[in-house]
Amino acid sequence: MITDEKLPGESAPEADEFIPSLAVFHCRWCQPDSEHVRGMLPEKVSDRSIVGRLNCSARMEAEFGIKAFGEGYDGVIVIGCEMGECHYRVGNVQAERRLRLLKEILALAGIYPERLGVFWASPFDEDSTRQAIAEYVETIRSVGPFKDRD
Amino acid sequence: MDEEQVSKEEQARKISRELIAGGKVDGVLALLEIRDHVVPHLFTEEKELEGLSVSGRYPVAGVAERLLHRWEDGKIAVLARGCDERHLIELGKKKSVDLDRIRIIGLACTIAEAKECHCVRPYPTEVEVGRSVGNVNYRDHEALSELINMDIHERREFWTKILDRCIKCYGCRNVCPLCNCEDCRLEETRWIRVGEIPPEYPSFHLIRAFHMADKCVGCFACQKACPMGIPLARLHQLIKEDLKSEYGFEAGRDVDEVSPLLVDPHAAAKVKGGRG
Repeated sequence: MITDEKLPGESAPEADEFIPSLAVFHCRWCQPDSEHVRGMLPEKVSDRSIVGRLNCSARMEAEFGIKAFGEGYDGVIVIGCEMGECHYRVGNVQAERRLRLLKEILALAGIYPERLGVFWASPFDEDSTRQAIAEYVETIRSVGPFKDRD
Repeated sequence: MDEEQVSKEEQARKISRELIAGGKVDGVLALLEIRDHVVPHLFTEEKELEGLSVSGRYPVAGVAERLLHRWEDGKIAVLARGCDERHLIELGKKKSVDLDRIRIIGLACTIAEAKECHCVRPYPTEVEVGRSVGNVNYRDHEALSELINMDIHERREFWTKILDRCIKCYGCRNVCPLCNCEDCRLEETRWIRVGEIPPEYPSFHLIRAFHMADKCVGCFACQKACPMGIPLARLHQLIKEDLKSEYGFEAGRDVDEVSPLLVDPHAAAKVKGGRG
């Protein structure tokens, strides 16, 4: 990271509970079913989120994420296969590089890079993916809504 | 005009004259001075060379590309500054120009010109006109560190305020020789709303920034073209530096250098095979 971002302290109490809305993009090979992915989100969050299936995490274009923020979503999640497990051999390697760059660009433009959550998930270990997503949602909650923050 | 520029003009005319007279090229693409401004021009006759300018600024690579597209067996020489050469190399990577049909006449920038563009490499690989100013670095340290040192809220405020000035004239895109996709995302209503000024934050500018990340050669043309004075080059420069420090990649350096954002499944043997 060129820039050094510090997250706001997690102790800051929220007056009204802030429930983030997310745009979720997942690879079809590690997670074939969008509704199943939706079920992995915390309950209240899932009602306000959209979930879309991609053929590969490499299909994730920067536009998808940037547009989601433009539309007012508070976070963007990308779920792809673990390294070495890509159906197209290196799709997730490419995705990782592009998403790393996208995070960098978001930070330079004044958007918390943490808003873009990238998870390399094993279909055989859903619990840890679920937990990683839950932690990510907590981060977004501490960061606040996209529209009036950052 | 100072002596340096006069002698550069002489050199450029001499080389062009020889190339045209020798029949090695069909024409020399350079800038023609008309009254107080310059236009890109294909010099095909020796007597035209009187009007050739070495002080004008215009990214000629896009003109060279279009010229060669329409003129299938043409061969041209291009009077190219460092950035023009890097543009041509990037276009060569995209197979958008045939570099074998281009003879580059390297033109070195003066110190004043280099400073104006905050250039870090104001000379082409082979200098034939003028003298290379050597390894200088006119990177805009002050403005860039100001941007880096802001916290994220300040940075968002900074950009939203500045980008609110955007009148969506597409000048930054149009002037850039490398921002030349036939179907432009910035014209698709799916991504950018039509008939709205300023364009919504952050879509318009970040989509362009991402698309240009591994192509931008830092010529500063977008920033100069912007009628609203948006410092676009700051964003591009920092993104370029990120790709350089992360992958050692620099756009426009070598026609065989592949962008780190493209991973070739056949070349990447190191990656463990997938599910077989």
